[in-house]
Amino acid sequence: MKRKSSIVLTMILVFALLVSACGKNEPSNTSGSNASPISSPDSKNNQGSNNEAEAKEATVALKWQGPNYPFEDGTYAQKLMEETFNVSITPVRIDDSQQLNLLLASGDIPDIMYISTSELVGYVKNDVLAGIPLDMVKKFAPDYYDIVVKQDPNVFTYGSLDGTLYGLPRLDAATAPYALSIRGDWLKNVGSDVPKTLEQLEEVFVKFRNNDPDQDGKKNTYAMSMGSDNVHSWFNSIFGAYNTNPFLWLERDGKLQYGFTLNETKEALKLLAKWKSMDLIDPEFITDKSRTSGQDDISYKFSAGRIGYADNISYDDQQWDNDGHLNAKWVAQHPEWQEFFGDPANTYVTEPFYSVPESGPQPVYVNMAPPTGPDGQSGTLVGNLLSRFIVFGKQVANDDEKMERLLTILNTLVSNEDVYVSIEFGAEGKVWEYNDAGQRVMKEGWTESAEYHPQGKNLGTGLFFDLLFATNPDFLSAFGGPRAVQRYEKTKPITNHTGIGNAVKAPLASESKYPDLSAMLQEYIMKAILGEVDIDATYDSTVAKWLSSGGEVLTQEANDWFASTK
Amino acid sequence: MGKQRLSLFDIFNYAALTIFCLSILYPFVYLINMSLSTSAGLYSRDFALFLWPEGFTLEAYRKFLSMNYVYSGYGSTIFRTVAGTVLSLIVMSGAAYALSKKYLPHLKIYTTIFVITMFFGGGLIPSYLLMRNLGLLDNVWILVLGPMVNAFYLLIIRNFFMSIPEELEESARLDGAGDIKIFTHVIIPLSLPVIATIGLWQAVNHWNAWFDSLIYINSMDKHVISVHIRRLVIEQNAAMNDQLINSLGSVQKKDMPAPESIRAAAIMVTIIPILCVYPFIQRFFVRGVMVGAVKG
Amino acid sequence: MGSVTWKSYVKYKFLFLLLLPALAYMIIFNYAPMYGVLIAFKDYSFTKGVWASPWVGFEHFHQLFNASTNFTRILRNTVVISGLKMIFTFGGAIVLALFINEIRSTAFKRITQNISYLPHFLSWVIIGSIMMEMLSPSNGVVNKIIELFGGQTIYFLADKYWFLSIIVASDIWQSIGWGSIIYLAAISGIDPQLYDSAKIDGAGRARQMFSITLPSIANVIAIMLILQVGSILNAGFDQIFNLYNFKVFEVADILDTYAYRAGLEQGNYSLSTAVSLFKNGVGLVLVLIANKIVNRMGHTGLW
Repeated sequence: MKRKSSIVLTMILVFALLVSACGKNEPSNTSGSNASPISSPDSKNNQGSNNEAEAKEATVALKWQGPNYPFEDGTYAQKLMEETFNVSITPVRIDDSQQLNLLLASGDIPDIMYISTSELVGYVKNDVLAGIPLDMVKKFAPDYYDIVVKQDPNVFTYGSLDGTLYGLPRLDAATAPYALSIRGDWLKNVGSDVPKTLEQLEEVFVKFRNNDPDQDGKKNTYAMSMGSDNVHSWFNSIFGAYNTNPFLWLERDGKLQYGFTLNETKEALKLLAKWKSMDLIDPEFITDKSRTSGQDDISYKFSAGRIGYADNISYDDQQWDNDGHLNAKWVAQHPEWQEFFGDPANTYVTEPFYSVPESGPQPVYVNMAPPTGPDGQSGTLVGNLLSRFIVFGKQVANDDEKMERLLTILNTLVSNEDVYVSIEFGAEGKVWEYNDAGQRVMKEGWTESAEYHPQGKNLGTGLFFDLLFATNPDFLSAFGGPRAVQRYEKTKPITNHTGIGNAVKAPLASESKYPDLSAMLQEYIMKAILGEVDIDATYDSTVAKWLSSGGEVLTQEANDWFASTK
Repeated sequence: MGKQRLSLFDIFNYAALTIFCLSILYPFVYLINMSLSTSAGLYSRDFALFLWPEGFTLEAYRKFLSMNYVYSGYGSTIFRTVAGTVLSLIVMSGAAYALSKKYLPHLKIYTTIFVITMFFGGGLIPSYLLMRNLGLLDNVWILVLGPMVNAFYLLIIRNFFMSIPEELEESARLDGAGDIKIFTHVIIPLSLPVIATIGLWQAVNHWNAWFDSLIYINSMDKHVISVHIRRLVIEQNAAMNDQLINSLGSVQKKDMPAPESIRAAAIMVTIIPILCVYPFIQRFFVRGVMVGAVKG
Repeated sequence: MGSVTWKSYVKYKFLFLLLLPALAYMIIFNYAPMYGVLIAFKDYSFTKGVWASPWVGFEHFHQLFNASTNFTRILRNTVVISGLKMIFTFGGAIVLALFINEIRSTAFKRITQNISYLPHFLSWVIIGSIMMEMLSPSNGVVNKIIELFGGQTIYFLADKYWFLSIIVASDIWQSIGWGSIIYLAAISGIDPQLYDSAKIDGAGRARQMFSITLPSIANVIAIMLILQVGSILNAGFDQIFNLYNFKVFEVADILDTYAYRAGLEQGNYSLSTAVSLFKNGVGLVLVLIANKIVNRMGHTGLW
């Protein structure tokens, strides 16, 4: 009986192994076969149009993964791309990076992919990407090369690993430091000017807390809070006054150091702890969320009058129309502004306020320069210029024609305004038209038409949209008329100050080995501000602990990389 | 009934359950209100109980119903729910019956085979490669087959079968019933409450599932409704931007639902159909099923 | 001996036929991809595949057990939270079923039952955001009520003890209705004659509940308990992830939240596989123990 049982068991296991053996040939075909349905062209839509193209001339077949996939194959934008560049395109539909991982794991690698900067190292280690010779970039994408190198000479090192370039930079030319907003009406009510230094800010904060700035007779106001879900933004203007940020790599005397390990950070933290003990900071800073979470407590509290100062709202959220995330909430809270923007003629007329105006709709929020710290320094968090990578699938490395064609396409999209607009937005006369000022605006009624889709999934423009959008600074207001002008030109001056950004632009090799390192620091900073730990007594040991649990290795790698860019 | 006095326990019981139910209904009131509010209303609302909508618009529901693939989405969801539940009940109750019999050869091994699967699985990538090799990618049947047998549920059914007195089967056998007849006419009717429960669990799982559709299905018209809803919420953010690019200004924007409203509307529209199933399930929970079956 | 087994297969072919589809399903869909657990012991690479990726032994487990991950704290939190849930949510579902069973008005019974399982349909993202709003110290309803009665506002989510209470309470709220369905199904299988004869013996309702209802559903409770014990290291990722913050990190960080931050979020399949292997290994051992105990007590366990 025992023996029999084991035979049954063995048979079952053998069967299981047999079935799984089929799974063994995982990375079967790295070339452009149509094994997976994700890449197989939708036959009913594609065949008719393709036959003619093939008859005309040999085309390069591209499996294309972009920001927003089209619902169907053979869309307007796909056809336009195919005609313009003499290629055939198969859209790859990806909503979630897990889906892309599965495709890669099954060996079905798209020819071009649009990935986040943090994913690059993983993909390189997994050997799914093509090395892209810089010479070919210079030769086949010369305009693209010039445009990105002009903005940052080292930009091609960021997507390189061990000297090989894998990621073509997609830049965000509109990157700017966070803008700061302070409530103008509160300043007026407590009789203060717009603060300039950290001391003045503290004075104003004390009044914001204690002098009933909203004049409702209740002590229900605080100075500031933070978006707890976005660590880099934590009190960034206060850390900025000490020229630091605990969670960024910063340059000090030609070397890179992690912000938390700096003495300045400790000093800033002590000030924050003091402010917390003075009850200036909204106790809810522990759970308040930033707008990326969809909850957007900071904008809400600022416009509803619970806090009077906000330093973590990006500049294009304050567009002084009715769409900036902060402004939308501000307008919703204040009837005078609702009335003002109720007239469409007013939509783009306002400029940011730098002081409290005497007339016009009230109340206003004022844009102030970041407060200066003890050494006269100041700044707010700035995001990376490098926003994403465009990468080529491994198979492209062995196919010069494909590589050439892809680079040519990217070059045209980033430098030829007409092609850029018609492929990424749509056709003139249908989707957009010129207004009286000669700007491209969306055509009246387009958003109501059946072909309209906010992400271009009907026209197929979404697959290519955003690919290099904003990489070329000249294109920022190429589309969108007065709104784009408002967004990228009129409100830009409010961020005309120092940005504190990450000095390490390239991925560090050991980052994945110490994946959860910053959680330790976040927990400590929270406790320090709340006064649960004595900063003087515990700071250095926390730094030491961070260093010994992986920080040291990362610091070394950061500096090695830094030296290599010189 | 009326003659019976309410005891202290009854009063406590009724009160506790009433409070419990009210606490459950509140989030739904909240979500309904959110789905009916305008974006301007939502952004200016004072955080109180939210017992009525801020502003009023049915735009969120209209948006939802005019979404691409809404009907094919419901079609897929209903198909997988019905086919998936029926099929898995048939397969699982059969296996559960076999495993409930002590005299089944190698019973322990078979039981172990099922138990192990509750703890160890291959994870996402090997499962994906398997489905790919089986040629099931982009096939709606993958949504039916993927979650078909659940060892946890199977063992619950088995334990129910075990609690059915052996004498019932024996007397049926004496009356000349064969194996099949005993299973379909004695065991299944007696176990309707548990089969209904597991069926409900399985149906609800099918109804809510979206991740398998996201990764295994590629054709837009085969995806389940939840996948389209996730997409719609993301798209609504983009749509709000476009509205402005179009220079329509804030007047027209007043009725525009916020993405939160769309999400709330989508929750309401997806929950309501599955709620209607429960009253039918409740029929099987009437006391005395067992007795009736024994006598009949 | 062998022929006896074969004969019994012939004799019980009907049973075996019933078993076969589910068995084949398990082997194809669960056992065939199970080689994926090897990822936990390998440095997994897409292009190499599971089999060809290099072995790294227990490296990923070392990383998990490393002091810098605060492993003991994470494990403690996981066990505490899921232990509390096992007592209150698991027990709560049984109590709810008994309570609903005691209701005499059919209409009220049906409505209560129908409402009680509603929260199962809400995801924790939704429940979390509604709770955050209700519990907010500045404008949350709960604190408004506390203030109305002259109490001090409480920052529920930022206090360790309150946080744990909220986690448990909201879990009870969300799950007991759904969990009670199986017990109600079991209760409906009880022979009413048992109650009738108990009444004749003069047993009150409390006595009936304890001497008839509970023992009659003890088998179901036993199997549910065994299965519950197996998931002791699943403390509820979605719930914690949507409600925790760094102030309560020391009681709120659990295995799954760690695995998410360190594994999945970084595309590190090896580490996340290692974590789930650890969780399930522990779960299986506990299930074997629980099964033994339940068998000793005279109930039917898994085997």
